[in-house]
Amino acid sequence: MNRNGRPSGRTARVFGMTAAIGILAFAARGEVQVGQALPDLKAAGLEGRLPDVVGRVVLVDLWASWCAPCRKSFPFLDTLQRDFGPKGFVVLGVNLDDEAEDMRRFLEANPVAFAVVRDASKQYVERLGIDRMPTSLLVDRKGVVRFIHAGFHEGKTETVLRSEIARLLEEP
Amino acid sequence: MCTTQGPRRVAAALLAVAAWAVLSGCATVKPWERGTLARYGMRPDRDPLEDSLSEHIYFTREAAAGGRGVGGGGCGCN
Repeated sequence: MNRNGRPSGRTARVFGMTAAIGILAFAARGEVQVGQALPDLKAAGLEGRLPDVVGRVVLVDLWASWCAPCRKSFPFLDTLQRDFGPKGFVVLGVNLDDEAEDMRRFLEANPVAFAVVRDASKQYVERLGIDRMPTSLLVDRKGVVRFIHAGFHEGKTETVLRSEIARLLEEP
Repeated sequence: MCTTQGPRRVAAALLAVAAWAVLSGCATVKPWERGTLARYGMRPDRDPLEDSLSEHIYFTREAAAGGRGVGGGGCGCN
């Protein structure tokens, strides 16, 4: 502070640098936003067989077997795959369990028609930067994230996702 | 000439170091790291007998019951 009670040049510089570091740290979080391209799935080192997603509308669902709403969403995701699959739609489940065995056991008890891969290193989810489980990213035919849905609420989530998928499938 | 600048700077530096030491202990548990928190053993209501006894004690002292549950499970999902 100087005699007038205003910040001195040095104080202002310190504040400026702190703010710049904060902004850079915020920008470096790597959170994927609507309108951005979905990070490359093939380069993410995901375990399992990736489905063909080129030119298709894709719902990337991040889930874990210990997450109750994720488990609840599975029958609905399976229905989505069956209903919209023939029109060029793909559901891709990305599992985030620490143990592969937990995922395997869950899928054995709850078999689904859609593809499931595992992000063992958690690098892909770190890049996506989600803040809730489950989170679904709806990607258009060009590979751009168009809609992000966090959590699963029966009825509400189902209506919203169905209408968004139908809208994206109509796009060329 | 101000003679209090030196001690002030030392105090400010010590405060900054103390703040750094305390704040660096804080860590955010990311949503996909909550598997352990979601285990059955982490639930406060895992033992029905203990739960009913606690509830009885709470009711007799507070003249109120319930309001302990939290939706979404231990993982903090939804």
